[in-house]
Amino acid sequence: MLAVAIDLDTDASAAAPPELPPSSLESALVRRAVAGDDDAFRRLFERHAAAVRRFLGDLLRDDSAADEGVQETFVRAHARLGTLREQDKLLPWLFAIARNVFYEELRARRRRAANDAAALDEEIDRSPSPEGLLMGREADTLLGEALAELGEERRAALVLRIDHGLDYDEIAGIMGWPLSKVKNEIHRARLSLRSRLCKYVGDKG
Amino acid sequence: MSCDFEKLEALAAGELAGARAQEIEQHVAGCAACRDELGWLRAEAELMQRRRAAQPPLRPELWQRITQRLGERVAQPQRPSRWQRWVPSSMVAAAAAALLLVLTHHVHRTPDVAPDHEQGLAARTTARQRLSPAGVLDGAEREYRDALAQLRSEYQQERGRLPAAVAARYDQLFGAPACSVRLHEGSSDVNGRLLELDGYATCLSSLGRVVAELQVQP
Repeated sequence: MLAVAIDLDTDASAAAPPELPPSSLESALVRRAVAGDDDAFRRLFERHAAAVRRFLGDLLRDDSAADEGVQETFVRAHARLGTLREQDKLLPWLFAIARNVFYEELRARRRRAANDAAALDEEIDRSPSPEGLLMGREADTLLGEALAELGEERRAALVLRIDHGLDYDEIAGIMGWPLSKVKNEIHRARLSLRSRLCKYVGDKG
Repeated sequence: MSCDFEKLEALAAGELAGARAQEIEQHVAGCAACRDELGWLRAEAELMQRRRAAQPPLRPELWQRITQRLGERVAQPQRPSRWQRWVPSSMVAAAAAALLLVLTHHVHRTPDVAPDHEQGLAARTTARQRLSPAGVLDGAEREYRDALAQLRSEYQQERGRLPAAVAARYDQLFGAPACSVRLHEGSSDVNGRLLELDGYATCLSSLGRVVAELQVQP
């Protein structure tokens, strides 16, 4: 217990051996946060907020809504952290909360725009993100457009795999899908992505 | 080796090294389909890496807003669950019981202002029966016991979803007020019985919060 406390109080960037493996460090931070240690919760936020923000940005295609979604995700995570079963699997758990937050936002948007569903689909699914446009590079813009063309569930599964590096089992847990559907959806998403990016990859070759 | 897409993914993600990576690379060198697939996977990985690097930093006020919201939750408790709404706090329970005792005492000792008035006499008789201290405390205790039994049953249904360590912590949490109930159970002394009710209220309140939280989990 003392070793854990010492490691946690050391700056994560300082590689002072012996060091806890990342999963143990994460578990220890979760345990401390559950016990009411606000600094441990802040450390968990710092470790994962950027990934959660990117995931929500990919789904919502709106920077302001994505920021709101990050807040909501971490506020909910704080309240439920004591129920996290596998404490070294915090990130997939956060993605599952973020996915629920996304669906709630989507439902709210649909209620607001009930009379113009087509325009809503256009807004959510097809417009390239501001981030993509700002990158300015052709391939990056193409990537943003290609992701935006995917349906939101397929897009979520794809970015969880190719951006966040989650394994198929973890994605199945987050999406609530059987493993076969996860693989199928990601495969189809990849084919769609590649059809848009073939010029870029062809030029590379 | 035969074509294995997941191994190609792992290789492209840099998750393989040494002999395992070498084995796959040897296969790829002689397999046009896998070479093509690996090219795509590496292009994807490169694009994603570039996208991550281009992600603007989080706005600093994001964490501030989260802490503000968490602070508000503490300062302004959320809407109570159905159990929290039902269960009175220990203070309220104790105060209510004390108030009833005072009222009962008052009814017993108040001189009859109209002893020959039939209606008044009947009302006071009913009040004596209704406000008997033992009867009030017995009724309150019965209600607490019933509520606690029902709540414990709901908790047992949800408990399996908890990690063992968390379940043990909750068990311990409920142990303390439950002990307080047991300590004063069966007491004939009014103060002892009030403490008993107080223990029930605390136990119900704690257990109610946990059950409510478990019931809203996905």
